[in-house]
Amino acid sequence: MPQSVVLELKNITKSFPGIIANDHINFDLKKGEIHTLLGENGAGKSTLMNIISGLYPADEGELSINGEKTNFLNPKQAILAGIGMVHQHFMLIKNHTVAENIILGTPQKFHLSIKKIHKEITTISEEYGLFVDPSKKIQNLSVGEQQRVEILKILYRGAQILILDEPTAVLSPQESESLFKILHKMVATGHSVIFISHKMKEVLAISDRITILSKGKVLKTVQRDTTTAEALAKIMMGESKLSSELSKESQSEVDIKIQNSVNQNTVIELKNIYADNKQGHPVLNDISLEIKSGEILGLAGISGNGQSELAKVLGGLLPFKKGEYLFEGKALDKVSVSKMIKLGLGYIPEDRKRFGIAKGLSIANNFLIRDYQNPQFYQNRFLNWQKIYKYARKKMTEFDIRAPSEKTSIGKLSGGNIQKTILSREISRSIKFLLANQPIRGLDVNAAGDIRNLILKAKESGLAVLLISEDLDEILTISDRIAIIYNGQIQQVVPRDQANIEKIGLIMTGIPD
Amino acid sequence: MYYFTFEKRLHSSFKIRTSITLTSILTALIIGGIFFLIIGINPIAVYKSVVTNVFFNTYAWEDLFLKTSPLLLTGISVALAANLKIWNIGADGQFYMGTLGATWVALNYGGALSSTSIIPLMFLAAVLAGSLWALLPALFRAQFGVNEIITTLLMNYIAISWVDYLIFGSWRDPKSNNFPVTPEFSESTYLPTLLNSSVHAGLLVGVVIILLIYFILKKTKLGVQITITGDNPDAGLYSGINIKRLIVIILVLSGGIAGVAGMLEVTGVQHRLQQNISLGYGYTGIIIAWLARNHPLGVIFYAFFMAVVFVGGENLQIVFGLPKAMIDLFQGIILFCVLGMEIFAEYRLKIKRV
Repeated sequence: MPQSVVLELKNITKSFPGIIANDHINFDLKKGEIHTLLGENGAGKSTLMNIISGLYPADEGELSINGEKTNFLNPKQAILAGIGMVHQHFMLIKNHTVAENIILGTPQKFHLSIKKIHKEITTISEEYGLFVDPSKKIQNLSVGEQQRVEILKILYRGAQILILDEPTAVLSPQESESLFKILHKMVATGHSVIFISHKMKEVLAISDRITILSKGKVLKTVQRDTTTAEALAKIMMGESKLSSELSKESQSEVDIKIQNSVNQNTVIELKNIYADNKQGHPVLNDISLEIKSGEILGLAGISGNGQSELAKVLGGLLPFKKGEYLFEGKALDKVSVSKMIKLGLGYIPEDRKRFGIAKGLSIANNFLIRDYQNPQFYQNRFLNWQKIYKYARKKMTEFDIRAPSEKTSIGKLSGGNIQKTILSREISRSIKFLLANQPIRGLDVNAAGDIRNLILKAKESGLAVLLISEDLDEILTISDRIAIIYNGQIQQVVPRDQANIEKIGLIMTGIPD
Repeated sequence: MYYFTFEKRLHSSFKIRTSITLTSILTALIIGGIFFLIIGINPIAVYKSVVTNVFFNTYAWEDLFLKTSPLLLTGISVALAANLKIWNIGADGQFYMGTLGATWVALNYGGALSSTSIIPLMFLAAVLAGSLWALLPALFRAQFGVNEIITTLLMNYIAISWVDYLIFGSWRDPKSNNFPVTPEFSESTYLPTLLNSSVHAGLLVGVVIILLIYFILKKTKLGVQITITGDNPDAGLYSGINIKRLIVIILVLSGGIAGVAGMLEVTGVQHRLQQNISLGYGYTGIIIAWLARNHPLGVIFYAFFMAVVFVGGENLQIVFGLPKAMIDLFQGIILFCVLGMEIFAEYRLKIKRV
């Protein structure tokens, strides 16, 4: 059924300082098909979509629409060429109505005929089953309805090619179902869809073709009909097996260290924890796990399966609904951030620049975040800055944090140095549990290696460590045990020496053992 | 072809920031000068007259210090809250409430109590009234996220209406020929003066409070909480800081300080409550805080600077017959220049050739 190629990318390359986000990407989209892009965070999906929708130009390569070579200079040109994108975070004005949001930026006469516009919108929404009242304000709509408005907005502008960036991430299963119905109707009327997701089930349910992207490169493009979940998982994990030079290098060193790790007392124990995210959807469904002192438990999983929320629950940032949280055997009745700090939790947040540091303040000042109650910084109940500066200087040498001085504002440092500051701060006070959420994401090779070694040292000193990562390589390199999370549940916990990459990959993507 | 670009500065030191502020003041003087030219007055004569009549005149010096006192307090009031990225636009209303609190004590207990007991009592009443005026916006901001810029601003008009209501009504002096003023306070309420001048002790109160705030910000746990949360609220959250409570504490404290400024004005200068007692001290406090980049010690310097603008403006009214609006205009130009030049603190202007 799919016929002519509506969009074609040839050898698209885009690099940012220090990273090649897209490396000679070839991709094509046929009329009336749903083509899925599959890949972990940082695989280069967003960069590619931003190039297609005109947000920035590619360094190299060709982009053709309906066989014609084009080069978008800005998003407006992409819109005129019939490309529309639904971003993961909606671009809607909350206190305006649906109709107002839809017509915003479209050419209209000086006098707006609201009635006529409402009618036009209703016609489109009836055609595709995108039911939403054009006179309602966005703030009164559910997330699913808001997404429909985003799609309507694109259709109203006459888009033929729709890009949906992880559209189901914010939806409930029922809302996802109805989204899929809408997408099917759209391709039936000749639209084409690029669908971005990393949920294997839905990818298999709605795609015609699937392209797997990893580290900026296309691994493979397959027909839905000729593939299975297992095969896809294999392709995705294949890259993992051929893991980077670095992890091979550090393997031998790591092996020795793992041998002398003795599991002692349980530091953290979760029993049947349930929690909801901000939108009120359940994200943790019956989580139970145990972390002992002197071990690293790696939490493997594809992002969006509850890892962020689990970290927040452990850190006291998100309350849980049901279940028990035990710290050194004692059940906590009320969990708060300051209580967890006092009990001895070191926490490397997932979004290090947003939560981990105060950009405008000095490095020394940043050592006070999460540690400002520490008596070592005070003298007669008042802060002693000489002590704080001295402490910061000491930590900077100890952890090789490179900066002109401890008074330099931390926002001016590189990602690696920022992460070292955070890590050194968190493990330098007396803690029992280190929670490291994506500690090396986005760091360069050297900084990543340093952080990895520091986490290992922390473990050797007897800390219980939870390492959350999407990068299986990283988890396999330093964890003692590996827990696999899918859909808010721990699927399995395996010791590292019994870990089988392919099997883990399958479980991560939700295919039962 | 030449074109301009902005390049991010790697360092924006105290030196750079101060020189930018001083340049913006200089720019304001030049733009102000253009306005003087337009209305047909030689700007050099104007500035010369300000310098000679303000700095070489004992009476003007006294006036300078009298104006500096409330400005120190409204300036630090705004700067304190701004350290937490809370914009207290309501210092003027809190000032009015402070005058109200102090006046209530003075009118009711003025004759009965000695100086040593009534002055602390008035101080307390002014702090309470000012804090209360900030409490409502603080609670709304902390609990519901209502923008404090709007609420504190609107509370100003309510405070002014309260003062008007009382001085036109039950507090009006029967002997005032229907002027909207309260009776003169008894002498026990007068603030002690410094060195045989008319300058009251409020100047010292202002400096002491500023030093205290500086100490709190720099040396205490509360100060660290303010600094961290002010720079990044998410980092505050992740440090376990109770941000809602912090917002309430700081905004209420800020209101209380502005209230003290009001008390100084009624008990140190006017000795009665009257209309328009503030001269916009609360709003000038915002400019002072901006100029000082919310640094307490900077507030001392810029409060004095704004007092010069006030007194200089009064001098121009007398010497050149200019309207009072000229002071407001000039203040506006200063703020405009400071805000406009803010970009140079972070960026450097580069001229490039194609």
